[in-house]
Amino acid sequence: MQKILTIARREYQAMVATKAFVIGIALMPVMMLGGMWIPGLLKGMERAEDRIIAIVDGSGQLFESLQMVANQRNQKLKTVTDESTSEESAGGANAGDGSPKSLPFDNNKEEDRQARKAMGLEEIHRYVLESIPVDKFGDEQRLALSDRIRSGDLYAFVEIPADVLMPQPLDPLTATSLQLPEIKYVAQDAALADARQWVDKELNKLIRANRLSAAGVAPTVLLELERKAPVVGSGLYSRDEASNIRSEVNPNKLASIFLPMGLMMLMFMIIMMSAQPMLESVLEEKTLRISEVLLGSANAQQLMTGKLLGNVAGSLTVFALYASGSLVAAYWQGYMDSIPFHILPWFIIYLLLAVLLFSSIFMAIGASVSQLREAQGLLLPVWMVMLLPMFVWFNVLREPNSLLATVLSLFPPSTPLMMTLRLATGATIPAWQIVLSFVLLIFSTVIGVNAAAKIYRIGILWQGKTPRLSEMLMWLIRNPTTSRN
Amino acid sequence: MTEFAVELSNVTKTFGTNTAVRDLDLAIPTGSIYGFIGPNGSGKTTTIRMILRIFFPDRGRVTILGESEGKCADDRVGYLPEERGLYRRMKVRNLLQYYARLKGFRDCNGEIDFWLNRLGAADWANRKIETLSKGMTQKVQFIAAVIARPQLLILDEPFSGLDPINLELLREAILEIRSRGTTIIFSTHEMDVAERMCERVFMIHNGNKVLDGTVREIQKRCPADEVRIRLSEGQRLPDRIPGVLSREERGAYVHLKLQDGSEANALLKRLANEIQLEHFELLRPSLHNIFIRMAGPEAVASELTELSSSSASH
Repeated sequence: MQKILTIARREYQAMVATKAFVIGIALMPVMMLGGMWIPGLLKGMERAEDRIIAIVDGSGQLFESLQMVANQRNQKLKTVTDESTSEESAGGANAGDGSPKSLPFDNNKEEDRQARKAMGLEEIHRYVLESIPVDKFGDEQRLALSDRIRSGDLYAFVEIPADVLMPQPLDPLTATSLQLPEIKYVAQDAALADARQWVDKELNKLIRANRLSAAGVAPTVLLELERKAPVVGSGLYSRDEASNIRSEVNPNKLASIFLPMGLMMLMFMIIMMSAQPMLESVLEEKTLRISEVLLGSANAQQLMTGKLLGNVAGSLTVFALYASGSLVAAYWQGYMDSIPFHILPWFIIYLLLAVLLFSSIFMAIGASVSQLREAQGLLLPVWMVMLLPMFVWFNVLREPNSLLATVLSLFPPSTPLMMTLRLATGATIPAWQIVLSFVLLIFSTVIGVNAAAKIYRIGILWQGKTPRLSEMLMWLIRNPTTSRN
Repeated sequence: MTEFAVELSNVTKTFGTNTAVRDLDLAIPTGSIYGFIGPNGSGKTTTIRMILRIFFPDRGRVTILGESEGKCADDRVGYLPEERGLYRRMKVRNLLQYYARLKGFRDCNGEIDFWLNRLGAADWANRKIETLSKGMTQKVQFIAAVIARPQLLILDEPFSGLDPINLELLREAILEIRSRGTTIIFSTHEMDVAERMCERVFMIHNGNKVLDGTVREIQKRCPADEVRIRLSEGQRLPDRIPGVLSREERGAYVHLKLQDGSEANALLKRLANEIQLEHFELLRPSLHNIFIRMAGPEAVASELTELSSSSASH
């Protein structure tokens, strides 16, 4: 036991007391969240500029209104401190700003827009409109405008056809327009630009208002017609201590997305930060013949146990650091209510089992190869299994009790991440699933660690040719060195 | 204390179809320096690993320091592997503490200081291993092996990569440890080193013991059949000398190979009668020569090939 603790202590120090660890601790969240925050940060660093958009208004009725809308928008942009987002500040969630497609933001929700604004995904540039005479507008003029865009003098130009406001002939059978007049938006990045979406949205609003007033509907009536009845999410009802029936706290949409995902990410990071060093440590011991010296002092079982113990302690340290960091941040931001303390025990149990399972697998791989390069091939399947829950997290988030979620929860290597994710959604997970997945996970951890220990024992003394996977699996059945320990 | 620090009786160890060690009997007297000689792949490392209880024999018995039932390495055994064996990113003192504690020797700082001073390495205590030169690393490795005051010390090529000054330093240290009563197993394929350091040597080839005894005994078993002479100025050797098989001039000396059964003494008398001699020396066969004689020249050739393709466990 003394030896195991000595080994564990060294392993822990080797893992925690290094620059790489400190840097890793600091960088990991940045790397994980960076994908989401960095585009926003970059956008925040952009200087707002005037973007001149030339409008060729064939209808002759839309330019002035559009210019008014644009001015209003520019006014709002100047007073950024103004929290109320205007109807005018539009822009597609997924367009042109590099934000992940999976971000479940709804453009029409005030809350989401706030979030997008906080993440800096809103367009910050001012739109300045310039009217272009419609007379004799043709390809020559289009070329001239395009050249102005190329020279940077102009940002885009919009061609509004003359018949855009006129009633269109309808197909008598389907009662749909036979021919839709198209508005042309010409720019260098026409497909992705926020400006195109803004023009699209605002112009169509104006066109609709125009048509409605032509049909005799007053603008005030229009506002009344367009008023929305928002659908607000709420938690389930339950009875509290004072036996009042109450709905759970109105679930914050952001918290309900970021919390489960964040917890899963956190667990994934900790597993990664624990397992990867094990591979390197075992590989170092093997290639530098340290394992021979160690085996001259302790047997392979003690060695592996000690190393795993130190590793688990290291992973708990990482968890403690991140958890306390998050707590401080949550306290600072006033999110203490959102912290899911009730799933903490499960989180720790799943984390420990996952660290044990994956660390021992990484150890076995480290012991079987003689160079890091050779480990990559063996690591790939392990990584795939590890990453499985990360591929489907959003589906599971939306349907925490779907078949996919259930199956992945019962597949031991993905149980820890999957169950953490599902538990964190606050959905009611059937108890049998929790128990069964837990039992399966314990079972496979015991089997996995033992199998890894067998391969490790043989591998650390194995020099020369790297064994194939099939050979390694054969080691589980028959020890080629037939050592009895 | 038992008479023998290590006793192997009738030990056989196979890996798959390959017999690494066959019916080996070996007894290493307590307090001796015992040389293990043999090329890579001869069964030397397997034997060492069985003594360290990293491997267990298929047949036979391994008794270490009176203990024959041990299931894992003994804290009283120290081991210096052939190469490296040190964590590169650890500091010298921390590393030595770790190895000492692994052997159950917790209050080790005094011992560490003693050895660092003894080998002129006190300044490195807080340096990382990766910053040390090869010779320095070798010394740290040696300290790591002896730090827990072992009763049995196994040194695998301890002198490789050392300059003559440090080699002498280490040689004295080894002798000092021996004088404390520690039994030392000294594995090497440099026969000269074995000849200078060891009282007894054990030679293994293809898993079989080919030689085992004191250096003197072994040399006796292989009688000297070569003399080296130097003649005084102006002297010439007779064209034919009875009892001499061949002759070879090497610098100022002439080496004469004796016929089987012919006496060096008789040769000296005959030569002294005829010519003036400045030097007459009976050459004892070196261990190297004996080894070649015992194992055949292919053993030496195989040593070279084995070096390039060393396979795991034997």
